[in-house]
Amino acid sequence: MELKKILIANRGEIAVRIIRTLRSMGIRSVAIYSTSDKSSLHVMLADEAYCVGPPEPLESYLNIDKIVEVAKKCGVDAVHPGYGFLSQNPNFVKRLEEEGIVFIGPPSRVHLFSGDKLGARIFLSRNSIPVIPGSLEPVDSLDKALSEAERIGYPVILKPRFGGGGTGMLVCRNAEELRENYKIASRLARSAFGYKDLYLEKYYSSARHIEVQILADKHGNVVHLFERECSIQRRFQKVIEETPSPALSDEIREKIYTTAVRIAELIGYVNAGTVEFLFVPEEERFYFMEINSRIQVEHPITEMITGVDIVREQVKIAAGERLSFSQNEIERQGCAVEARVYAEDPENNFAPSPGLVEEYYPPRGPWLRVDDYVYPGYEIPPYYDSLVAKVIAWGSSRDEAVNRLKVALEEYIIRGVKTNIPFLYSIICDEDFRRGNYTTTFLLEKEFLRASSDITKISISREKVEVVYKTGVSPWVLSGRIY
Amino acid sequence: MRKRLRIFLGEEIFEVEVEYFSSKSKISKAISPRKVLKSFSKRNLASIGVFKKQIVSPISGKVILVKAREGSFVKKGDVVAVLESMKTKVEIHSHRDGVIKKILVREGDFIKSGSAVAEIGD
Repeated sequence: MELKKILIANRGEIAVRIIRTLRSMGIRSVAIYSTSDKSSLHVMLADEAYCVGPPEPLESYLNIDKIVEVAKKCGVDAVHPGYGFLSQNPNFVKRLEEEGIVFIGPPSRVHLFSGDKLGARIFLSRNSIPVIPGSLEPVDSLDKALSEAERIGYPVILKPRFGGGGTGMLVCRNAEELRENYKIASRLARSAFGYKDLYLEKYYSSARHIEVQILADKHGNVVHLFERECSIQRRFQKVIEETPSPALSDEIREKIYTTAVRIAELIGYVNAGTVEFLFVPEEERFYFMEINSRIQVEHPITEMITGVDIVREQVKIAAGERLSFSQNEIERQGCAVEARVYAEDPENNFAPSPGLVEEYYPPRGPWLRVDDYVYPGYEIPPYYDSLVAKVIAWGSSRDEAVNRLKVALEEYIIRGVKTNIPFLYSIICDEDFRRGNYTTTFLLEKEFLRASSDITKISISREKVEVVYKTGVSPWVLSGRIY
Repeated sequence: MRKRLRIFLGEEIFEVEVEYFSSKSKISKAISPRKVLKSFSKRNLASIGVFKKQIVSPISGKVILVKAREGSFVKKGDVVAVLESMKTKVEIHSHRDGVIKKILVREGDFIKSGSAVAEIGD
């Protein structure tokens, strides 16, 4: 089945990124937007754009009825959900299936499977996939929680069975904390996800977050596109990602790929997905965490080292095509690093900073990719995520990639809103980061990253760039070398 | 002759001592003390810091909780209301000690940055 017209049920940088691929494939793109996004870049780039409601996500980007109505009215063949919003909502996927509109992503049964975190654990561990040590049945009473925790060994983490995104997860270091947290966790689980079911896992305070990108077509072919390491996180939010991971030996790396592909095969996965693992360096072991049934924010680093356009593959898979390459035809080249630019104030406890972008001059240069959606005069609305841009650098070695990212951050100019760029810069200048020596607690341990000693370094080179920006005159001309 | 001055920068208060003196030659660049005093005249003070009668939100967002009650006493730094902005909770703090005269927002309201959340007095 040929897909000629596709609706993008998303906004921001990912909508822009998807539209660009669709345009390059000669596919007509349809944008949807809320009233606060009328002047957003994705609206301007798409071939058609329709307003779906007021700014509140529930009334616009999460409004299934309205989105389906627009999709039918303008006669699209398929919907690409991006990430977040409706991307992993089984009801949305089911509704589109009923309406005969192709959903660019896995079928609803996969979303139901991956949404039940405990169910997935049980199923996979029965199929001898390593899962994090912990309970393999619902923990439905405090007594059960206490006896399970005794068996697993403290510290443990309480997690909601139907959860995600770090909500309602509570670490318990001893029985007393477990007693206190049990009630809170089940209440949180009920209010956030509608079910109070919980389960327990051993808590590894210091480990590494490794994920494997997979592609699976409708004909049972599964390939992986290598791994990404996303251990640099702040409050469960990823900040810097890189590939390949500096933590893995070749032996473990191969093992983790085979395991990811096997998981995808076991559950009959279709389309692009990510299998997340926790790698515990001192044990030299990895455990399955969860499967993300959508495109990930950090997918560009994989694209940079493989040359595969993941969105393009998603569209082709959804159209029923077979994967056009086999595993041994996919080659990895070099290293890629991504830094996420958020509109938040690192000097004020990372408070969000929506508002008018007065000046905007993103970095440019070879081996550099910037996925963004803002422009001078654009007002970043306060209703949505604070992600403004992703800066991705490629290098033949890790050092080369990181150095290019460093230069890019030095050149980046955004005025009007505060961003975390100085914070990102401090991270990639850190010696431990440069050595690849970090775990998920990196940002907690490096409190000094909040101090902004390195920020002054940025502003020096920033002034130089500004000369070009403001006057249009190269600094070489100004310094008298070129006439 | 020395004069004590207070400088308010956002929520921070700085106390400085200013001295009138004659030997200008010691300093290469200085603002005249009169100019300093002028820029911190009472009229200016009223618009910033402790004299300000309104608690203002520094950020746009949706009011998800109004914590302060009309007639209640709040201390500087107390949470007056909580906003949701960019999927993050942001607390609005009182910039001074005082009594909440009037609450100007309701839960569910969407407010712009710089708009008043409550009136505060002595």
